[in-house]
Amino acid sequence: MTQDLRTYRTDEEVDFVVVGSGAAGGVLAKELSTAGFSVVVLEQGPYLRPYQFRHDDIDGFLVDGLLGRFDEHPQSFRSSPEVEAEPATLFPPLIYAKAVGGSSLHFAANYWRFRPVDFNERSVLGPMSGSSFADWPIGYDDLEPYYTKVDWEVGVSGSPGPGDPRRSRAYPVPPMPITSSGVLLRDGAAGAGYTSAPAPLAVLSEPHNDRAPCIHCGFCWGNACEVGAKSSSLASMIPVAERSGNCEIRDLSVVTRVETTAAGRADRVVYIDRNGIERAQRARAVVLAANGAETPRLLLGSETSRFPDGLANSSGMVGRNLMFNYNPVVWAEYDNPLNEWKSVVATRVVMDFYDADPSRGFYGGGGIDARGSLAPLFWGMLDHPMEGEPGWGPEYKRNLGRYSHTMQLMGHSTSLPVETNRVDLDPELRDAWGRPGLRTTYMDHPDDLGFAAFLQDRAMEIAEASGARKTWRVPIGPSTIAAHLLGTARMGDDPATSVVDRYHRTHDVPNLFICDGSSFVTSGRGQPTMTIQALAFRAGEHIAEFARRGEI
Amino acid sequence: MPPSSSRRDFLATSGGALGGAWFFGLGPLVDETRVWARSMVGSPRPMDTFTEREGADFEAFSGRVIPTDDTPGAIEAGAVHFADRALGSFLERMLPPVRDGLALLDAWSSEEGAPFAELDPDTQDRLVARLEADAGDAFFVMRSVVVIGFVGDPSYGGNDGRVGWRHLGFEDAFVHEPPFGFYDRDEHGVNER
Repeated sequence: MTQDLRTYRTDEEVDFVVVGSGAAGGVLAKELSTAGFSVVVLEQGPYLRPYQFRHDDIDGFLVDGLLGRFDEHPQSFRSSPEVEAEPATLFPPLIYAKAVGGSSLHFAANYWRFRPVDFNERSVLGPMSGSSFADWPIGYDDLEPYYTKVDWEVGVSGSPGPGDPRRSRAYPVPPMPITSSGVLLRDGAAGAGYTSAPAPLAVLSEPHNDRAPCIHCGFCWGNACEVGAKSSSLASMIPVAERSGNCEIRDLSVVTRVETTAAGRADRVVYIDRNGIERAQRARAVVLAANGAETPRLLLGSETSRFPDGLANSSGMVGRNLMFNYNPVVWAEYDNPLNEWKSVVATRVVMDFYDADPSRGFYGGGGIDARGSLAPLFWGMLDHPMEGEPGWGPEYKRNLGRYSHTMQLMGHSTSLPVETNRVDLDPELRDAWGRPGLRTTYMDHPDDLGFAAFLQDRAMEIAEASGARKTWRVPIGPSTIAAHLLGTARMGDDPATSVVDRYHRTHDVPNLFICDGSSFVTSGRGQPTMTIQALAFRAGEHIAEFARRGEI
Repeated sequence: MPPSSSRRDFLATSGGALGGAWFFGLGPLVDETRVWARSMVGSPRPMDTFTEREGADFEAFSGRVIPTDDTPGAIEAGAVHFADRALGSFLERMLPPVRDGLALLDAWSSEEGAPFAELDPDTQDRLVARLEADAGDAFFVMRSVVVIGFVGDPSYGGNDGRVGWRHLGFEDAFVHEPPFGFYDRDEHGVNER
């Protein structure tokens, strides 16, 4: 297939500039361009093609691969606003991919829907001490049609499980074949008196939408798919957007500012192009979908005399209420090989602990899956030694060799919104394009750690019932690294306490929209991307309607 | 202990292990032959980032972290060559703590009267234990670099002969098919949907 791709001049006023091409940006670009509007997508990373993706965990995480060069993207971290942030020296605290497709390229592809309680839990349970816990302005029924769009247009495999929320249409393709970790989780859960279900995954088990199914290569998590079976925005949405004839994907374009007029409207998006030249794209409206870290950084860095605390920040909530989700882990070793380095990340889930239960004494809910290590590299660097085992020598070496005989039972759980948990601009660090480095301030709410310990206990029961010959807990402590970046431009009806309204329009700037993980009011149970994309389909539909009515 | 001698030590034992359980398939045979052939030439590759002394000490350190026993360890994997390349390029940020750790080992070794690489294994182990206790951050980074050089993709200069992958039981194939492991062996009937 060859086609002349549409391009636009920077001084031509396009209908929309979309900043970011990941889970949300890809959907928004597709929805707006196929609705007939002209769209320029600005993506800071390169436009890579599937043939450029490799089975290479070193490239994926340590070289200037999908994460971008470490020295070009400095970050700092602190546990409290009372202390000075330390520049990261070994790993970035906030992990996200920088390429067309964004983090949907390297995600693990777990596609859990939220359940109705995720949207109104504040009303159900009441306030939480030390938290800005709030209801969403929308509910599950508002989002259900868009979850179904994600299932069918992005491509999700699965089969309904106990306690699943209402769905208006079946999954388009059946669940992925069960792996050994799935069997052990299923049987262990049954032995411990719990239930399990096939894991919904944004990975195709059969051909769908002219895309090929999974070949079980085992390099899903942390790497990009070479055959397009993993439903990244690159594989699913970007090609449709480009085929519309109304969408230009402009890669290696690092956005530094959204410019506003004296009247307070967004009119140009300033970026540095692949040659280091500053340019500005004119647009009728701007949609930020840069993720829960980059979106607030851009807003905070776009201050003017009219918006001295950053764009769309009259509430002071931009960058605040950052939520990571938590992952309590139990490792389990078995007599025979599981070979979890084959096929998809997880094939079964246990959702019996989804609902919060006030009688536990702390808030929280979540699910459990089972999976191998992220990659040989991570097994060697971070998963070993297990607690209490030697850190070098013959026994260390022998323990490294357990790789194919082990799995981790991984919990995925809630993070309460806390206003002091935030991303903002580091006062000293500058990135390679002159932007302030990302500074993260984060300390898990005590209830987040309390529930994580509870979920780890349940995972341990399942591991023991599954016939593991040895088990280990990964100690539960404060989070210092995260890939889920949620809540930093939260949605709400009240402009005093939220950044965007229920249609993702910013309260302060009428033609500026934000839709990505930053829109979340609560964290869900640890698998946000399905909901990010459902929000993006819904936002795209509403924003297109606003544009048709001349309301942007 | 010069680098090539420990490689020879390994080959002396691996002769008997050529038919061992960890040795399978044509790919590994080719890899193993390559390791063997290179060791026969007996010319250690020069260092780019490390000084010669640092390289020898790091290699000896790697051999205490992932030692050679009935299967190859970090020395046979060429972890030092991965380290030398990576610390001079994409892992440059890890070079300062690695240099700090090597300097400590070097200082303690001079009290023992010889460079770290030339100390006997028991003394080396005593100093590695001291490094782990007294300079945990440097030790962690040094061990990380060793283990990436053992199990990382061979194209970066380590995991020579895929010995690290074989130790993990890992196979980098493009395509796999069910059953994937022992526990799902009865789960994939022909009528499965």
